[in-house]
Amino acid sequence: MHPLQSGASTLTERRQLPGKHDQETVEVALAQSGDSRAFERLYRAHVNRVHSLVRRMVPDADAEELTQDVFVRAWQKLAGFRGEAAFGTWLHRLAVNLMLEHRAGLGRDRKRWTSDESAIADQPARRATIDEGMDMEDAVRQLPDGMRQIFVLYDVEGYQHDDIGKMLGISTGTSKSQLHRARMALRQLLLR
Amino acid sequence: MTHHTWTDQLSEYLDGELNATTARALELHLAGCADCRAVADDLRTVSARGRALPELPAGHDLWPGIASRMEAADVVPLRPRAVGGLFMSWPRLAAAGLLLGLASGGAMYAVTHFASRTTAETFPSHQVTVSTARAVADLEMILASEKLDSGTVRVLTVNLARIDSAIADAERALAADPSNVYVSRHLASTARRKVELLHLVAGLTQSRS
Repeated sequence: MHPLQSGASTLTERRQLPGKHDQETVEVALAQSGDSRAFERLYRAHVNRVHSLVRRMVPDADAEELTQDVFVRAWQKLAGFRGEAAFGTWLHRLAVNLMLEHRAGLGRDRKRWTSDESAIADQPARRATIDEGMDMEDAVRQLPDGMRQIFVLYDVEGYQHDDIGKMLGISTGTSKSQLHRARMALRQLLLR
Repeated sequence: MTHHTWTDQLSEYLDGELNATTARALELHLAGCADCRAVADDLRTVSARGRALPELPAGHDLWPGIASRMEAADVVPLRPRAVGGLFMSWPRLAAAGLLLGLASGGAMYAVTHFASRTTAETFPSHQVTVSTARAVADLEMILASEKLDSGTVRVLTVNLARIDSAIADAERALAADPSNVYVSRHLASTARRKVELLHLVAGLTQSRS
């Protein structure tokens, strides 16, 4: 077990709560048959996680509308969901794809993941301690887009680098290096 | 290696993604370098705080907006599976409808008594976001245009109603006993049968138009 795995709640662990899967399978089947009430129950089960993801990945002003977009898109594409992964996994992937479309609509591109490297300057190791009282959410929000999104996907949401690479269209190495830069940047922001 | 090079590898080390040789070399460096140990501790804390971030609920219920957009979008109509002339034959239609009705009624028995044999079923891959009411409306439209005789419409309508009734029964049973896996599976299989019947209706609609 590596140093960060101890005590960590992985994405898989978070999704596989006992009994939840069967219930969700029912709701998905009902929603696929056109039952909007079942889809509403799926919405209520997942909206907080989807909104959290969206809120951390895009500007606050766009978060609620994009969250709505995610569920409307999910309703439209629900027939294509075959149960090969958990519904939440499928929904999250769909949310990420939608946010990438949103980025593209804003005229941003893949260079964002490498061009923002200078935004946070490398700092020499400092003998200081992290301020536990500082708002982590605020610190994450201050990260440049590319770093923030990779930090959110890896550390907050529990995706692995190969998944992130596929979703964002970047190499695994870029994902790893941007994650490290994001953590170093957050360290600087949180240092007292 | 320079001090900076070691620092750059700390995240991969903490994530368990360095090979054993490099990880061991880094650990030897950490043992003698207080600065790098401090950075490693900080990065470990940053990552842990990221994992511990709470959910961020929306400021208000987003469902009304989603529901209205779902309705306004008038989702893609049901598309049939390519099964040739199946839908053209009245006797086969009637038989299929009857089988669906029987299956709906008998599913609870089968699921309860043969639960150990139940396997995960796959869902239809077509867009099936059409309601029973809409399917019935389609049937009525076919009837009005004399594309289908009234007997066929009646059989299909009755079976749709039976399936909806079975779904409602199962939903009530599940509400009373949410952890009952057999009822859950029965509900899922009944919903799937409704989808199959709606496919039948859609195929009929297409073949007669």
